[in-house]
Amino acid sequence: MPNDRILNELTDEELIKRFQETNDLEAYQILVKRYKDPLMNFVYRFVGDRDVCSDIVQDTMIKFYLNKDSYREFAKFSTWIYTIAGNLAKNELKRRRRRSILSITNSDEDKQIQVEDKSFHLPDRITDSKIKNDYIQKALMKIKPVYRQMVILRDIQGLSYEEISEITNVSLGTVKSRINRGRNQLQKLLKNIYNE
Amino acid sequence: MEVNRYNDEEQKYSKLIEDLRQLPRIKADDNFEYVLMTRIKNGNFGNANQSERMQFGLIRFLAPTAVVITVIILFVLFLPGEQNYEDPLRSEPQVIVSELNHQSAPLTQKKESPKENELQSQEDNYTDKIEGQEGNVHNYPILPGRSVELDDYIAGKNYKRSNLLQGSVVKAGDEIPEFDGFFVRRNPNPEMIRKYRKMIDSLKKAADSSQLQKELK
Repeated sequence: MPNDRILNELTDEELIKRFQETNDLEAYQILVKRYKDPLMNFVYRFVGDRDVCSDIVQDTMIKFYLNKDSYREFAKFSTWIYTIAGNLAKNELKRRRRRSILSITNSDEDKQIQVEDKSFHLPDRITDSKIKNDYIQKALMKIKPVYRQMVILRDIQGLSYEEISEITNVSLGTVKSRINRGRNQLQKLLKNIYNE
Repeated sequence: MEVNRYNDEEQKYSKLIEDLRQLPRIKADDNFEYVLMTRIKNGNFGNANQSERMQFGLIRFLAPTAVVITVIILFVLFLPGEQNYEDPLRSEPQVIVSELNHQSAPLTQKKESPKENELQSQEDNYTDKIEGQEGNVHNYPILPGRSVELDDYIAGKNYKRSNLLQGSVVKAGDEIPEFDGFFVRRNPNPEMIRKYRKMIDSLKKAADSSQLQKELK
């Protein structure tokens, strides 16, 4: 137990260093515990599918486990793990697009954007805010993935512009302009809500 | 993490940003870690173990290859057959019969005096000797019907202005030409003209001297 407390007090970078050097699974598990929920939220908002998002986060953690040595100390652990998750999420979107192009029986049901499952919420009645959240999620899924990723990282995950720039590997100016374009597109899509 | 929201752009979208921030947080399943650790212990890495680069590298290689192969197949299928293709430069033009008759008639009806024939044969012998080194002049595709004999031209005999204007006509060997469209333009060699002149002068002198000798006798 005292060892656990000591490990929990360590920073992300210290934990991964420990994991790299001693292959300490406890350090790995603490990092998984810290990042599983933020990554789930990020991937879900980006992909819009609960089951797929769970698989992507699992794969992210396995990639982290397998490629722990590819992490370099000069980068923040959070940006590194977000980059892995973001790349896997983008690959999933590409795979879906390819599947939808190749699919002969491409029904309208497949095209529908999957919204958040009821089971994730408290089983209370559907309120206005629930409908609004669904609309926001649908609108998020309609904007370009490059803008969507940036808006999610900035406005939902609360990362700084610098961190987003590091995760997406684009310049700070591009990050800012893409975030603004994404917000602008979102606002246009949700004009019924924001014109009230 | 504290987010600075005192930016002009962020002020513009403040309501939207606030709503995005208020979106319900999605959490991982309770058994997330258990499933993950079981997978790691069992070495069941699934898709995460596959190299993405390998997959996409193969796709990137296959896609252009497929395009190139398709283009080659289409090219082979729709390439016009050589037997159907008519090269306008190689195909022989249609013979205009009326033109042929018009050209062949003067050749057959041409009657030369014995003296002219003799002179012509002498001249031919000379030209054969001179041109022998460079090539046979008679093999040149010159149409006699439209050519000008240099001797006659200098002597002022058989002068046809139209022939001079037209120049020499291309002729296919000794046969009557099937094609009468192009004129060969050759710049006269000054050296050759000088040689011919000397030759003619010497012939004239020889003829004059023989006449003088005959008269003296």
